[in-house]
Parts: sequence; structure tokens; C-alpha cells
Amino acid sequence: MKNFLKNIILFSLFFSITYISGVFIFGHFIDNEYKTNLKYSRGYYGHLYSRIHNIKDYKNIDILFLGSSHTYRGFDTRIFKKQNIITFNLGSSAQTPIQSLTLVKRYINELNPKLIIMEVFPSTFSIDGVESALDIISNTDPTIGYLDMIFKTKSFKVFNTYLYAYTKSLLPINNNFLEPKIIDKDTYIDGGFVQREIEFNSSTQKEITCLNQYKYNDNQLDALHDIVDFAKENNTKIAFVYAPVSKNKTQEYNNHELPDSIYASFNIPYINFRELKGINDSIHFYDSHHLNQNGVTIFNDTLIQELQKNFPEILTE
Amino acid sequence: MLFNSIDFATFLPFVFCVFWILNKSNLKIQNVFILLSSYVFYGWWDWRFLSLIAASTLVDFILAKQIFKTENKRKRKLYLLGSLSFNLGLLGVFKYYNFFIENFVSGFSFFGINLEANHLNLILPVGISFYTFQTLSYTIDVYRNKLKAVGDPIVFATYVSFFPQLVAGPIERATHLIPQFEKRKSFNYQNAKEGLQIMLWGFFKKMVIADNCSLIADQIFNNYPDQSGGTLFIASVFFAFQIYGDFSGYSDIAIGLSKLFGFDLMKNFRFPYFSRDIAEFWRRWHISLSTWFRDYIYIPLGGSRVGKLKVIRNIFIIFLVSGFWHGANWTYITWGAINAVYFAPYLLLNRNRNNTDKIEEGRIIPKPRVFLSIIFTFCLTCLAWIFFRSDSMEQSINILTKIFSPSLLEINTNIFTPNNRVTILLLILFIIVEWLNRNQEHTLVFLNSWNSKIIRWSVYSLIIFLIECTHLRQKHRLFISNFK
Repeated sequence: MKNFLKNIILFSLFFSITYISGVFIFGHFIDNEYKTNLKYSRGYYGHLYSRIHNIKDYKNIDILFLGSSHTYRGFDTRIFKKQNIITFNLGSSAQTPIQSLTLVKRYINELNPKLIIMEVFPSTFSIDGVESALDIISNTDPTIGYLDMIFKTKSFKVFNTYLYAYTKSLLPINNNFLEPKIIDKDTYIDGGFVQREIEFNSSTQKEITCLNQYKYNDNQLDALHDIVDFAKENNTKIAFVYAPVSKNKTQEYNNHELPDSIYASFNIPYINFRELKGINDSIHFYDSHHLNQNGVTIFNDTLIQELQKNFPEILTE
Repeated sequence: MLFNSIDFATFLPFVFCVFWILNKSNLKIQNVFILLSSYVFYGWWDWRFLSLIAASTLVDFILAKQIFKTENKRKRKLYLLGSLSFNLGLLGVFKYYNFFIENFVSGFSFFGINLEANHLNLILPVGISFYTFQTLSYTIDVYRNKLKAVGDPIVFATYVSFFPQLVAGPIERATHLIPQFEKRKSFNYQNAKEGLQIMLWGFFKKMVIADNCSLIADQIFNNYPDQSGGTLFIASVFFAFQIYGDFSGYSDIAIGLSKLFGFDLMKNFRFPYFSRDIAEFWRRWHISLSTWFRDYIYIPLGGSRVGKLKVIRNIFIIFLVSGFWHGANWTYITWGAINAVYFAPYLLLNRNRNNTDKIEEGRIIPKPRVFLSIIFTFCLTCLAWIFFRSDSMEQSINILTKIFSPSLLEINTNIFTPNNRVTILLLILFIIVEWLNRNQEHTLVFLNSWNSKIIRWSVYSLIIFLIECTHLRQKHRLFISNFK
């Protein structure tokens, strides 16, 4: 038995070294389309690379935004700046609470926000977070602190990508990358916002054929609890915001009371703009759940007023 | 709990260590621990269904004891009937009730009588087809005086629920497995090493071959109306490897896992796709189930020692029952019937044992005649698998109609995406490795003759690397879990 256990331990060491080397060779030399379980893409969708490199220009901000594409496309840092509110938008593509927790833990000291706004679109609670984890690993310098996120996503793809990115960061390889400010119809704005070229939602009259139900993964809910606890430990205020979605999108689901009751149970301000007055499906959205710039302006102006009511000690009118 | 899950990766080292620590204390405690571990393993999926296993265990333990105690033939038969009714009743309710009801109603509607069907909205308990057959074999063997009734309820309960083979077999015989729970184990390094090798290859079959082949098979079969005959035949080939990788991979993991704990399970698959005829295929495919049907249905019906008509009847009975065992659908039953049609001529012409020797022993490249017979047998099985894979008879017939049409020569090249090309490459590698080791006890046994530990470990590392770099996350589900 001793011999068996000794060999198991020795093999584990041997395997760790060969595996890391193998993943590096695989990640570096094999074409992306052949890599099922490794996806390292700098400048991935959503300008996260630019956003992360933009952080160094910000310190002691008023508000930090966290969440999915509704965040980086919905909270325009320029509109807040006009009201003398300094904000940073740390949203990223398909970001789930598991990734929000990783990002806030990593960057809170640099940004030192007074208030964290967590955008809580229910669909992000039912996904595994793999897409977002790959985005974060590829576009930030991976640290040991990411391990928690990696174990929670339970994905070989995320694990391999992390191993590759981490090994790459340790080797003297040219890691320089310059992400263009404009990618297709998106323009990166200082502070993390991404402005979409003005477009209008063409699928407003879509017939709803079946009703869906929002579902909440336990892992994602646990992460949301951890974010709230983490903010409290850091003496940072926190609020949940449900960004506007089109009526058409809202009608696809029939259990809206579930998200509302879950968010209300946290006993922190929950500002629900699911059906924001004055917002029109075709004029203010470019698809069924992303606001265009017209919608963003209305939404952000209303949000600022709400935040001033809820957090007068931070945001004076 | 699935073998290829993080939960199992933490469960196994714990159970392994505690099991061998307990080996120093008494055997009963060790068996209690295995029993509890098996219940945790099963209850991880849905604890409510533990009650079914417990009930099946209790009923068969008591009835077998009664059979063993009494010499009164009538009473013995009554107790046996009790066991059969209970176990088949469980299967009937959970697995076949809706099938019978639907067919009953459609049968009446054929004659213009419209009945209302009351479907049961039941979850099919995982492994029910496996453990009910295992307990049945025990009671029948006690009835046939092949086995003494077990005195220790813990030993019997552990036999029924032994976690390595609880969910997907092999379906063990009491005569083989129960004595192993009654003997103190001693750790054997070679045995454990071999167990890990078998498990590793099992994981490769399941997570690399089965899961990736299923992706291609699904892509094609899910759009079968738009596919040509040639493309559909290719899909059936991928499905053949999906089902083989899934089923034999899981069996290999079970066998290897048992070896880690000092148990020996029966071999369930012996490189079936290298069979030279259908009779040989059925000696190599799902051996534990085939021999179960042989011993408990075919032979009691007279086997092949009766008149030709009865032999044909017996063959059809076991193949139809086998099909029905795999699933409550006419497609499975038809799959069974097709195999009976394939198999019957061999038995009637006494050619069913033509190929019992090793396959092309000592040769790397097979003789052309052997090669063609292997390919022919494989093509026959692929055609039968189409029924196995289809959701309905209509779908199977449509697919076969396309295959047996001029479009058999057309292949949709869009299926050769980069990912699918990687799968094809891995499949070729897999077939080569299996072919080279077709006459060995298990595939990776060749590594033991290599003296260099570094080279052996490099091969193990490469296999794990391939598993982790090509495994598809969304394909955790076992196709064979459909059988349950």
C-alpha cells in the first residue's frame, strides 16, 4: 500500500509538470479552432482588456458598476461625470455573480468605490459563467485569486485556459497587445462604458410562443451573497439594479416575482427598472434587452435621481 | 453520482483510504462502510430512490432465506414467484407502465374504441434495470440450489448496491460477487495498478470517444430529413462508437474501480467491433447481460437442444426481451428483433461457434477475408443501431430508406468541422490501440511490459491530457442511463 501511495504522489507531481507543459504547447501552437477545451482570446468581445488597463487612471471613485453586457452597455460613465459622480464600469460579457465577485475582490483596493452597483439581470444567474471566466482570464493578468472562480465554474476549458494564461504570464513572451477602441459597432469610452452605434430594435412584434421561467443557480446566489458581504466588510455601500429590458423580453417570462423577492431578501436597496416609464421597445433598444444610446441616457438620468434618494450621503444633488 | 464528476473525484480517495484503513478491523465494519458509501453514491442523485433499493434488498433477502429453508417445492416456487413479481413489478411500474398503457389505448383505438390513458408521471430510477436483475439472479440461483442463502444481511445489501457497478453494471452474479464480500481483502499492488489502468482507458472511452462521437451523431441524426444516405450511415458509425464508448467505458471504470478495492467483476465487453460474425459479436458485447438472458431465460426454455422452430422461438424471445430491457419503446424491441434475425441462421446452421479463437493472433494486419468479415459484421450492427438511436419507428424507417437509396454515395462534407476532424483522428487512434490489444485482458496491459516508468507515466499523462483537452462539458450524461 505504501508503495502504491508513494507512486500515486510521484505520478501526480510528474503529471502536473507534463500537464502544464502540454497545455502551454497546446495553447501556443495549435490553431484555435482545434482547441475544444482551451480558449484564450485577448480582445475578446466586450472591450474587457481596455477596461482593465483603464483602471489605473481611476482612484477613490464614487460608484463601481458590476454585471453583464447590460452593465458595460447600460451605465454610461460620461452621464454620471456630468453630475460630478466619478464612476467606473467593470461589467463584462455574460458576467455572472461568480465573476463579479472575482473582479471586485481583485480591483476594489485600486478603485476604492463608495458604492457598488450590482446589475442583476436574472438570466445571468442561471448560466455557468464559463464564457465570462474565459474573458476575464484572457484579458487580465491571471492570479492565484482566480482559483475560486475556476473551481466554481467546474470547467476543463476554464481550467486549461487559466493554466495557459498563468504559464504565459510567467514566461518571457511578448504579451503586448493593443485593443482598438472601436470594434465593429462598439466604441470604448473612458471609464469602462461601451457605446453602440445607434440602432433600433427590429423584433418588437415578436410573437411569444412559450413562457419561460427564471431560474437561479445556488452557486450564483451564493456568489451574490458573498459580494454583499464583501462590500459590507469593506464598508462600501451596495445596491442592486435591474436594468431595463424590452417589454417583449419581459413577456417571455412569467415568474418576475421570483427575482424581485430574491433581491428584496438581501435588505439592501434594490432599484427595479425592468419596466422603466418613458422607454419604448423600438426607439430605446437596439435588441430585445440592450438599450441603445437614447435609452441609456434616459435610464442613467433616472438612475442618478434614484441613487441620490437612496444614498444621499454619497451622492449629493 | 457520475464517475466523471468532481463529486466522485473527491468521494473516491476518501472511500479508498477509509476502506483500506478499516481492513485491519473486522470484515463486517468494512462491509458496512462499503454499504454506506454505496448508498451515499446512489443517494447523491436522488436519496428518495434509496428506498427502492432497500426494499428490493429486503424482499429478496427474506424470500431467498425462505426458499433455502424449506424443502416444500410448492412453497419454494411461491417464494420465487414473490421475488419475481416484486422485482419485475418495480420495473413494470417505473419503466414500462406508460409504454403498456399507450399501446393498450392505441390498440383499442384501432378498433374504434377510444380509451383515456392515465399516464404515471414517474422518474425512472437510475440503475433499476441493473440491480433488479442482480437480485433476481440471486433468488433464482438459491431456488436452483446453486447457492446458499446469505445469512448476513449486510453482505447481501452490499452485493445489491455495490457502488462501482450499481448504476450501469456489469450485472454480477451472486455466486461470483457475494463470496468476495465474505473474505478479508489484502491490498495487492499489481491489482490496484491494473485497476487504475482499466479505469483510465474507461474514462478515455467515455469522455473522449463516446462524448465526442455523440456530438457528430446528434448533429446528423437531429437533422436527418436534410441528410443524404451516406451521411446518415456515417452518423450510425459514430453512434456505434458512442454507445460502445459510453457503455464499455462505464463498465471498465466499474471493473477498474472494484480492483482498487480488491474486488473482481466480470468482463463486460471484449472488443466487440472486431467480431468476425454476429454470433461472436454477442459473445463480446454486454456479456453480463447476454449471459444473464442465456442462463435465466434461454436455457430454461430449452436453449438450442430443442427442435428448430423452438430454437428460433427461443432466440427471438431473448433478443426481444433484451431489446425491451434497454428501453420501453418499439425501436428497442425492433433492434432486438433485427439482432435475432442476424443471429438465428448461425445457430440453426451450427455456425455460431465458428469464431471462438483469438482474432488474427500474431498478426498486425488482418487477412483480407477476416478484415471483410469484421467490416461486414460492423456494418450490420450499425444498421441495427439506427433503431436504437431513433426516437420512433417512423424515424428509423426514414433513415434506413435514405441509406438504401442512391444517396448512400453522397456525403455532406459540412460535417467535417475542425472539432469533428479532431474527433475522427482520436477515433482512428482509439481503434488502432484497441486493435493492437484486442487479444489482451484489457487495452493498456501492453504498458506493463515497458520497463521505463517515465514512458509509462508519459502515456498515462497523455491519456489524461487528451481527456481534459477534448472532453465536452455538456455531454456528461450517459446514453446508457436511458436504460437505467
